[in-house]
Amino acid sequence: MNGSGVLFLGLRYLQRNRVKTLLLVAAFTLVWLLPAGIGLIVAKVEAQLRARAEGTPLLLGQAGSPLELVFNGLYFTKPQVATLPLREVDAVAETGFAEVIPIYARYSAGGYRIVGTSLDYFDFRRLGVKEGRQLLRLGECVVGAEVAENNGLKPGDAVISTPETLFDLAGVYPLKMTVVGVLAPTASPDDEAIFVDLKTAWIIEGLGHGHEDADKLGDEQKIAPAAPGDSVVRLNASVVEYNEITPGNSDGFHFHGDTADYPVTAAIVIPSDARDRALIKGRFTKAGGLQLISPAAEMDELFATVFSVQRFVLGLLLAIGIATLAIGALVFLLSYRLREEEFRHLRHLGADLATLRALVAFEAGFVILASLLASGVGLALIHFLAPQLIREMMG
Amino acid sequence: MIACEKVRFSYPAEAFQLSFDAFSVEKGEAVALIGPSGCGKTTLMNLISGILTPGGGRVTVNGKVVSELAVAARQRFRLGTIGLVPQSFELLDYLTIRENILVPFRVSSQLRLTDEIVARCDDLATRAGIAAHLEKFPRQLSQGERQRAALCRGLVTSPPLLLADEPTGNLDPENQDKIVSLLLGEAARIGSSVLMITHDPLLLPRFARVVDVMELRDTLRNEGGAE
Repeated sequence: MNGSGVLFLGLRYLQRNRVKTLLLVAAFTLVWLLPAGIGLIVAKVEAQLRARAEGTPLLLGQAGSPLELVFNGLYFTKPQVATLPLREVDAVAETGFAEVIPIYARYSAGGYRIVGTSLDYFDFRRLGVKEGRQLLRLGECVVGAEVAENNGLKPGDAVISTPETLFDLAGVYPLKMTVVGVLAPTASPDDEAIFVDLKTAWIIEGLGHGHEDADKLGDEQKIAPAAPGDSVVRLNASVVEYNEITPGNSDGFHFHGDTADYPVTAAIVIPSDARDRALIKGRFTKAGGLQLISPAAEMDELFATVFSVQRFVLGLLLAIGIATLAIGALVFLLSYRLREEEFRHLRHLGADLATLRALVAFEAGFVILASLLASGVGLALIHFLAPQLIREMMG
Repeated sequence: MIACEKVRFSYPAEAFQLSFDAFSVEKGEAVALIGPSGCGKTTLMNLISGILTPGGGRVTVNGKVVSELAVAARQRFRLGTIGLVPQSFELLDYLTIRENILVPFRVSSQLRLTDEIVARCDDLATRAGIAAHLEKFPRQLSQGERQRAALCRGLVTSPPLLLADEPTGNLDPENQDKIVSLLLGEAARIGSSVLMITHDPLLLPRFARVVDVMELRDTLRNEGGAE
């Protein structure tokens, strides 16, 4: 057998029949890639979601969808999840059974979630500052590694929160925040978040604000008392409100009302031991319209459903794959029948049996190998694009 | 070059039989095979080339007893010794004309494709008048051009024996003349023997000898043989 001759003739045949070859390679690629790709994506999603969930003992939130609470508290998605007042978070902390870290993940800046939290969060997630320093004052933020890399941010730069309602005058106004630190990368949702103090998050929402000192304003900027003897100073719309918190104006920022009533979307609850965990779960589970859940247990439930759907889908793909392979085999058989005359010509010229067999096998071998190669490339792409895909899937 | 002795051949489950006492072709001799359709001309050629093996007797080509060689050895022998020019061209439609002419070098492990061989291919194509079509595919050529390409393929290995099965059967007189001139001229140039099947009496004077296969079969019949 002339190996290089077989290669030459085989490739020339495939080249002259390139449409048929490409269709066969594409069909076979899908047969291999679809089940393997689905398996890989599910495995990656599971690994990423589980790692974060298992690293979070309990999560407190307003009663509602536990999964939405998990996605908001752990992955900073689902910003419309029901909020709970800070006093509920304080109440859990006051039991002494657990450390509690509030999370307020509702607003965003440039497509990245702004997460209002306490400094304890950074210790809990072991987030180190790679560049700059930690949060100290109102209006400051530290950004995740990916946020910094994608936007070229460094300490001293600024990010502006995205206004939520363009035509709603009472809506959320943009707040310019100073970047004081960049976090070290952790390959987690923290890389894509902008962290601020809880109070800064409330200012973005409009619950706190800053403006010129009322005592230094003229009467033309004040509204007459609502009633005789009313001591509250009311200011009219001519008063300048600050859209940036600086060392010079930070004293002018204040909150009206009790901050204990202000919202958070979730709170991470960290019991010191199993006993405290049991006690706190017993006290707060479904109490007062709240939910205290175990993210890992929620993930178990989620993936039990995912796996049953995956089994069903894989069953369907298996049936489609068998049908595709059968059609492919039929195409090869018909191709062989069509080429019988060609093989007879070659036999007449003096081609030996091994050469003819190799020519017959070449087409099938090439299609199978090319489709396996294409599937490998597809799987590599899925592997590298999985984090992006997972982000898209989680909204 | 060719020596056949007491050859007996029949196709399985068919009434046709070809049996003859002796047939030979000398080295460098050009022989025309004639006879009515179905008399066994192509069968005789296939027995000489080793495509078919006789049920009895011996077929010797270029000193080798082809009828006693194993299948693989016969294939190797054919590639190295015989240039085939079939009536139906037998060109591969996915190869260019140059690639078709050189195809014996692609299927043989004993023939080496070298620059000299490629130059010989181009030279043959020039002399056959198809040099301008070397990069075209068979379906882009006329019948006569395809037959000339098939002839070039038969000649490219410079074989000691050329077997041509009605290579001019489907051609007009002008192309018939071109093909036979090229075949006999090139065979004479490289010293090859030629055995060609033809139905055209006008071509017979160009051959050193004409053998009627019906008469060949009669030799055995007259001696009280199988037929």
